[in-house]
This record gives sequence, structure tokens and C-alpha cells, in this order.
Amino acid sequence: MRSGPACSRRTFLLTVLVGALAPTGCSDKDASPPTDTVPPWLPGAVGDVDAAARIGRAYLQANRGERNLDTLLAAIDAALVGDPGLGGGDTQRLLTALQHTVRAEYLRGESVNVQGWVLSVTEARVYAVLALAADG
Amino acid sequence: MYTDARTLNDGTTVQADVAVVGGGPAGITLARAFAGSGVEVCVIEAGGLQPDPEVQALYQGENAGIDYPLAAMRMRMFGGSSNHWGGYCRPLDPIDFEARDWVPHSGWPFGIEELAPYYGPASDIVEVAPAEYQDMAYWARTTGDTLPQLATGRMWMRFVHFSPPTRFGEKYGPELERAGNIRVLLNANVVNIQATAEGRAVNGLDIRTLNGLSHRVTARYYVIACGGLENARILLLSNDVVPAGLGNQNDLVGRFFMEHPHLGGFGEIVVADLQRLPPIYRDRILVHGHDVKAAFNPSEAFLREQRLLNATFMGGVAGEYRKGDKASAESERAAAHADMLMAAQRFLADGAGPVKADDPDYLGVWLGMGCACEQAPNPDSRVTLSGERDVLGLPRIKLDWRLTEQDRRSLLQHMHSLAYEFGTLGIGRLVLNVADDSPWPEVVAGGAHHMGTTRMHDDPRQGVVDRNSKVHGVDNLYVAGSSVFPTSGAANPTLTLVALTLRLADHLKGQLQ
Repeated sequence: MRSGPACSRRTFLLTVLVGALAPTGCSDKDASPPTDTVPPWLPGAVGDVDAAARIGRAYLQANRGERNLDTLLAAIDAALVGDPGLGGGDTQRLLTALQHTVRAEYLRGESVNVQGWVLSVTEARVYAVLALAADG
Repeated sequence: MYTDARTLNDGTTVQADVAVVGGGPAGITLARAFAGSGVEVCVIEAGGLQPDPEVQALYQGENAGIDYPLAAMRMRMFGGSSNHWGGYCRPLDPIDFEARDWVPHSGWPFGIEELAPYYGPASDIVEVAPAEYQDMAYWARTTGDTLPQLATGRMWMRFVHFSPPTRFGEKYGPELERAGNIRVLLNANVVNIQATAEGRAVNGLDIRTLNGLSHRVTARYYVIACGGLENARILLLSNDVVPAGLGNQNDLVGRFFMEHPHLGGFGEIVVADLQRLPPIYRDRILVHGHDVKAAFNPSEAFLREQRLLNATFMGGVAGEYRKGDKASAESERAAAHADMLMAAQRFLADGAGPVKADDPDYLGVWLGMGCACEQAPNPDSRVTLSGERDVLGLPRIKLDWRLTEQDRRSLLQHMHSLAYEFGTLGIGRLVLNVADDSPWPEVVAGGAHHMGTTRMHDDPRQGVVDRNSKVHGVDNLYVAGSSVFPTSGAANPTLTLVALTLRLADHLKGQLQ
């Protein structure tokens, strides 16, 4: 992480992506910020938000404990592999990092079954985030 | 020379050096091996040169296990089941020959190196030579495509070659007809293998025709080559000396029936960008005069690590999706496919725009996946004789095909592996139509691959035939065909049974000298 040791990875992800916090806002106060906002880059990770939301709803139906945006975003953040280079807020690099994460999960066999679909855990959670957002 | 047994005088005895019961791929291959030699061969074929419903009806039988269309899965005519085979050819894998501690009753008496010299000539016979079954670099060069390297270590690629398919009767019948030392006896049903009083040798075959004639064939050596179901039935029917059936002193004849369970529709894969999946991975490619297609197979390391059975998977484009198309609106499955293609588009295609710049509504395709799975040898999966009788008065066949939890678990693991390979490469997403914790589906199709019912083993208590395909305890009786396979692997059996038959021919030539 380029943001310095005091700033958690997740905090930094949200800082850069959500835009709800100050760009350098890595204080104790925002170490674990609640949010009900979908990071603006996330819809760009899928081809069609509505289709993704339909899959995401099925995931949430089977994983009721994750029906929480904050929980899901934290899980996605924790899973992101490598250093996506968040310092510049580069959406493309974030999307690339997500691609790598998803592929790495398939490589390791870290999957969930969503109505028969064998999906990477993080991929399914991305869809779930979009489902929660769509459903308000 | 062809002879119709219905036209011989009643009570005719035909003499030969080698009597081959069955004119299918194994029987014809064996006879060809002696063509032009000084060895007199008589091929006894129950059917004629053309299909005949009355003859074919002799293959009807009774099912006690998984429903199996016994008469439709084989052909009782010259050329045998090569008259309707699909032509899929691939050798067994080396691991298929091993005694694997996680697969009860597994292990051939020899390794693949014993059959290796015969696979080349066998490939020639089924018209797929030159055949390269596993070299990725070769196929990349030959197709000019970059072939994605599988990444998870769970699977590897193999290459299935497609025979035209060779119809053995049409292709090689004229050669047998011309050979001065080979007689093909048509419409001749072997109803009994007559053994000597001690049951240690065969001294003749009792023949009956559908027009009521009885004949006899005598020879020095006898080879039963009627297919994986009928081989067992004929041995069981031959019970006048050995009450349990010839070669069945250890209650093994008919047991260990294996198929390659085919689960059509077990799952599908959606692919957004076909450029990520080279044609040979999804279509037959014409190379060197015959078709070739890539197959996904579990790697040997993964099979060992997870203690699984073998399997072969092949996919083909089954449909295409566009935004808002009718299929997606009318079919739940199509809608699910379309949703996944739309949702995962960024994971499966380059850029943020449409998959095809000139076709903005194009979403991708779905691949229907076919699988042929190894079935573990199972003594309770078996052929016996039915209480029903055919028009010759003989007990019909009764098949009790059974699959096990081990078979199901392996299949599911491999389906997950496919999902992981396609996901890792960013090519596609797989949906399973079989739940992880479900039993075997009620409907399981086979591939018309009948194996294991006269299994090969050096120990007579564990096998019907020895390593040379000779029936244990009977000096001059042999079995040819896939019924001798102790394990089935996940490759279609014809190529291997032809290779084994060539090996048997070499053995018999040695015996005859």
C-alpha cells in the first residue's frame, strides 16, 4: 500500500473508490468506516448491472449473513491480490486487480455455487454488492 | 469367402485352425491378421451383411439396474457395432493400467508399454493415422493457433481423433472374402461352446440358424469376440460341462460390467469471446484427412492427489445469445446463460465495449459439454442370464448396470475442475445441472461401451482371462474385445480393443507355430 502503515488496505480502497472520504483520510476515525455507497468503479466491473444484480440476489439468498454492503466490500477488499496501485485512484488498475483476484480464486478453487454456477467468491460478492445497491 | 450358414446342409461341420466368434472390430481385426497365411480361420457371425430386425431382436434383454437399451447399443451383423459407432479414438492413459489403491479391483496385468507398439497399427486400422493424441505443441503448430495452457494443474488436454468412422465389415470384408484361408460364416449363431469332459479345453462350437439348421465348427483355437455383453452371455450359456458357465469357476463371468457414463446436460459453459477458445477446443478440425478435437482430461497428478477416477470432456457450441433475444425470454436456462454472459462480460472479454464491435447485441455462446467418465470396477454391476428366452430358446441377457458414489464424486470434482480452468483463463463460466449432494440422475446414458465382463487378471480368482486373453483353466479358449478390460479409463474403447486384438493375434501366431 502506498498510503502508509496507519491506513488499512480496506480504508484506503474505500477512500479512493467511494470518494466519501478525504483523499488522504487515513485517520483512526475512518479506519473502519461504515458505508452504504457502492464504490463508483464497481459497476464498471460487470457488463450489465441488472444481470449481475440478479445473480447477486441468488448469492445473497444462500448467504444471508452477507446481506450487508459494508461486509461485502470488506470481503472484496481483503481478497484483492497484489498492489492495485490505488494511490492514483486508477479505476482501470482496480479493475485489473479485481480480474486478477477472480482468476486467482478460480486457480485455487475458491468458489461458491450460485444456482449451479461455479463462481469465484469475490466475483459472486461483486454481484451481491450490485444486488444490494439495486434493491436499496 | 462368405458362406451363409442358412444355406449349408443341416449338420455341417466346418473345420479351421482358429474359430473366431463374432465379426465385429475385434473379430475382423483378428482374422485379417491371418489373411494370406497358412492358418485356416473361420469367422462365425450371427448376422448377415445387412441389418435384419429379426436377427437384431436376439440382442433384446432385461434390465435390472440402470435402464439400458440392450438391443440399440450394439449391432448383430457383419461389422458388428462398428456399423453405428461414432469413431472417437484415443488410447487409454498410462494411469488407467495401474493398480490404484483408491480404485478397488483396478490394475491390468501390464502397463501401457505393452500395448504401445500396437496403438500405431490400430490407429491405421481405424483410419486415424498419423495420430498425435497429446502433444499440445504439435497441435499449436498444426492449427496455427495459440492454445491456452491449462493453469490449475487439475486438467490437461488430450486430442481425440475421429475415425471416418470405419465400418469394419464394409472396409475389410472384401479383404477377408478374397483371402483363401478365411471363411466368414454368416447368419450363424453360436449357442454353445462345447468343452471337453473336464472343461479344460474346447472341442467345438454348436451353431444354430434362424431357419432351424444346426452346424458345428471345430478348431485348434477358439476366440470369443462378440462384444462386451455377448461374450459373457455365451460363456454363461455354455454350461453343459461347467454348470456355472465356461470360465466361470470363480463366479466372475459377467461381473464388473462397466460403461462410460455420459451425462448429457450435466452442465454448460458460457463463453463471451470465442477468440479465447481456439476452434480445436470446440470443433472438430480436419487434419491429415480426418477430424481431431481437443478434450479436457484430469491430469494424472490430480487424479492421484484427489484419488479420483478418470474422465474425458469435450465441448461444442450449442447456441448463441444476443441481448433481448427470444430464447432468453422463453427459457429459464437461456435467461440464466444470458445473465451470466452480461454480468461476467468484463471478466470474459477485452475492453469495456461490446464483445463484437460490429455486433453490439452479441453476448456470446454456450457450450454443450459431453463427458465420458471412468466407472470403477464393480462386481455388482453385472451380466447374468434372464428367465426370458429368445427365438433360439436361449436365455436372454440380463444386465444390472450399477454406478457408485465414487463414480459420482469423481465426475463432480472434474466438473468443478473444468469451471476452474475456464475461470482461471478468463474464458467462460460453468453452470452445473447436477447438485453436489445429489444421487446419480435417474437417466444416465452410456456410450455403447461394454467393458469388464470377462476381465483380465493373472490371478484366476480375480479375472476370467489371463494376460494373453486366454480363459483361465481352458487351454484353447480366448476372448477378444473390451470385455477383457479390467478398468475402462475414459477413452472410447475401440482403438484399445483393436490394439489388444493385434497383440492377441501375435500371441496366437506364436501358439500356432
